[in-house]
Amino acid sequence: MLLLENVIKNYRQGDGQTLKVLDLPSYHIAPGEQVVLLGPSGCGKTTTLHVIAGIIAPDSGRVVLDGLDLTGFSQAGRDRVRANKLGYVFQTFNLLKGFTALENVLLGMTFSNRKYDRQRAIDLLEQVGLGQRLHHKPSKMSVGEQQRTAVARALANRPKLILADEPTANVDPANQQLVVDLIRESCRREEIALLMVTHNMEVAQQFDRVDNLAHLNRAITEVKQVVR
Amino acid sequence: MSVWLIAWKSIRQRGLASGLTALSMAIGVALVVMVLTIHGVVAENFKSGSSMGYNMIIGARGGPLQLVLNTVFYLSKPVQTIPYEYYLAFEDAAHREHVMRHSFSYQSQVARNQSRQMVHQLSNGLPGMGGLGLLDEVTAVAENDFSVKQMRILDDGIFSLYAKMAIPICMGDTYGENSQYRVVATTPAFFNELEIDVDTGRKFSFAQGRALETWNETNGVLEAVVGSTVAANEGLKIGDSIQPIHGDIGAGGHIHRTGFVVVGIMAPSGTRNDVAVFINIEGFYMMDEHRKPLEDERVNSQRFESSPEDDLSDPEFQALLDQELEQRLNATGDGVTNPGDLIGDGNRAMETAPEDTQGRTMEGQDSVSGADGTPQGSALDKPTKSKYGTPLPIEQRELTSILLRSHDDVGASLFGITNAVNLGQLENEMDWTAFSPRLQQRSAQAVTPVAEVQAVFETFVTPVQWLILAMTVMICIVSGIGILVSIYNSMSERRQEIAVMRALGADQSTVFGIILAESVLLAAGGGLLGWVSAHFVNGAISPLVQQRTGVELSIWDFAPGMRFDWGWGSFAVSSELMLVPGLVILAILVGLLPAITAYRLDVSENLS
Repeated sequence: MLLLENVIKNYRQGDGQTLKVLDLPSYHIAPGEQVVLLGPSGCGKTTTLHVIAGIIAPDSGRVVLDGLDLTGFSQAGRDRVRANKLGYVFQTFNLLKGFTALENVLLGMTFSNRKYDRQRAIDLLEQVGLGQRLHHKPSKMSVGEQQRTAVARALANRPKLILADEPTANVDPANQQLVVDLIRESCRREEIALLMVTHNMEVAQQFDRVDNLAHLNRAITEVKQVVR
Repeated sequence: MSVWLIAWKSIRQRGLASGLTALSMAIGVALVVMVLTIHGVVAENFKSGSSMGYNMIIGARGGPLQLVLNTVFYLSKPVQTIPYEYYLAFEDAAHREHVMRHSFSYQSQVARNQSRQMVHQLSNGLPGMGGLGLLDEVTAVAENDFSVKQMRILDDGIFSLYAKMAIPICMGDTYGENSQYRVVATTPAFFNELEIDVDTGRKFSFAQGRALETWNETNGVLEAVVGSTVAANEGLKIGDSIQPIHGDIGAGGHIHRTGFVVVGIMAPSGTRNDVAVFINIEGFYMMDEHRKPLEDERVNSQRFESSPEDDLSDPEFQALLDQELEQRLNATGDGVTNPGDLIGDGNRAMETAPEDTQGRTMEGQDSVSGADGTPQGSALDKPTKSKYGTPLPIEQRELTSILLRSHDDVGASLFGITNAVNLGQLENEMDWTAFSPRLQQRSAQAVTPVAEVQAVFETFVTPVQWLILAMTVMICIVSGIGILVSIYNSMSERRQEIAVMRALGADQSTVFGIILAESVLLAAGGGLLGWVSAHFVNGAISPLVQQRTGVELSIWDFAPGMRFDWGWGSFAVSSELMLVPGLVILAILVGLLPAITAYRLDVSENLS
């Protein structure tokens, strides 16, 4: 489903020096597999997600998503792949303020090649328990409801993989498990692979596979070895 | 969800800022559209008015523009007058003969002949005086012929060959509570011959009633036709009586005692004629203070049909006029004068007219059809005589101007008239009568109204047009900058939104399009709102504009078109219709900067 090979990403610093932030020799996720990615701050979790999503291109290496090798793709090509094969759940929900819950979900399928399916958007919102909140704007919804809307939006374009970047970080403890369950159950139901970044060990322990990026990212391990 | 809907949602989200931006755009566009429309309509009206069926105006020497403004647009202060004889120089023999036989000069000659014939008859009765009587008779006839020849009564006017149409105009009176409407005294030819659209030959049309008509058994001379605006504003209808004001009521003018019956209400013509009142020129001359006094003492020593002693303050004369008006008002209850309701019997005045040198009676001369409303016909059944019906002698007549149409617009006749009038030929060679005021008011000028109006346009209006154009461009630019500022300022708070859309799969061109669409929606929305508002405002102020300028401005009036010529043909598009598309193009231009910012947005940096 997802394969990363020898992916290296460097950032140019202010003094002109380059800083290697990601060096993944190999990483993969099987179809429908649910994986937690752990790691301390700065270990490259968000960069890894952005590389997988095609938001940024790696300096070298291969990223293969659902059989498509993104290596030679232009920015527009990577955008199309993202629109059709990926779902994204953000730490801060990132719902568009001017849009209702339904419109936010519809936005999730706007940029894909799939049929614009209003009924699916409604069904998804009903599945996350927001059937009565279709036309409410984010400002009128609770934090938990906003994140549930974001989950529905991530599912809207029938993705192959959902990237969840600390989806419970801004959710109150009472709702954290609800959100995790919702994401996992939805992915299971729709046979979508899940890569969830989290710092919450309670959440991580619920997953069969937990990867620590600090151990996988050679850019970090090399720094540690130098420090030693 | 389309790019447009996303852009619209974004605009609504920032409702206040977007609303104010669109409103400023709307106000700017409304202002420009109103100025374009009103200026365009008035300018078109002004231009078309200057070429309305006549291509030349003859009036007193002075400012040519003032003559044009006064004659064509009924604006500016009244100009000086010119002798009526000038008008006759452009008329044909039949008309001249008809009018000139009512001159003091001709009548005095006839009176002298009668005196000589009386002496001759007396001398014939005395022994040995037969030869003297014959001599007197020969002399009298010769003198009479001389008078006819000198006045060239039987000839065409010296410039008649140049003129296709000549219409006399007298002004000086006003009508309305504030003297806001000009009273124009003219002949029926103004309605029968004048074409308000030369291309189509369209003449004035009437909403109700009819035009002024030559005096006959059904039509008197105390008749008026009112412009559509005057009728609407003053609530005038057929059969009403109006009394012109001598001069301006605010500047010492007074209301004439003579009343005129409204016989026609003009359909809107879109010209200044809509704010004017037209009366029969013969009726105009009947009113007090409209007769030019004669200084020549010889006049007072002669016996005339119509003498200078005819004092309009004479109770008898005034009673006749009042009686005329009264009967006409009673007769025109349905707005149309019925045959047999006439009173003014100018032709009857000629019943006692002496024979002229050619053995024809004056009554017989009156049967010659004239275009100036002078009485004609021959109702000799009643011996009564009305001073009212006697045409005013030409020496007592004055004109404000003459509307002329030459046989061509650029050829010999136009230049012929221009040269003849402006070089003094008219004064020097024309057919003055013995009593004509040859030493006064002899300076005339011929003015081409189109050229004068063109000159005004080039001097004043064209620069104003450029100014309006510059204003339009500046307003559009300012409005465009407003949009730019509005959207660009919003970009900082929208970076995350754009990044989210990118993360959801929107490519760079899509977010670029969303920002451009937002800019276009703001411009088009504001522009459309302003455009529609401007036309509603135009509709609302239409009565005011019409009252002030006589120009009909409706909610549906568009600014005049700009013509485009292509190889396959040409077409005209109203400049205001090009404004909104122009604004959209401007919006695209000003939207480029924030759109490029969105296009280049670093998604990775702005997602968290």
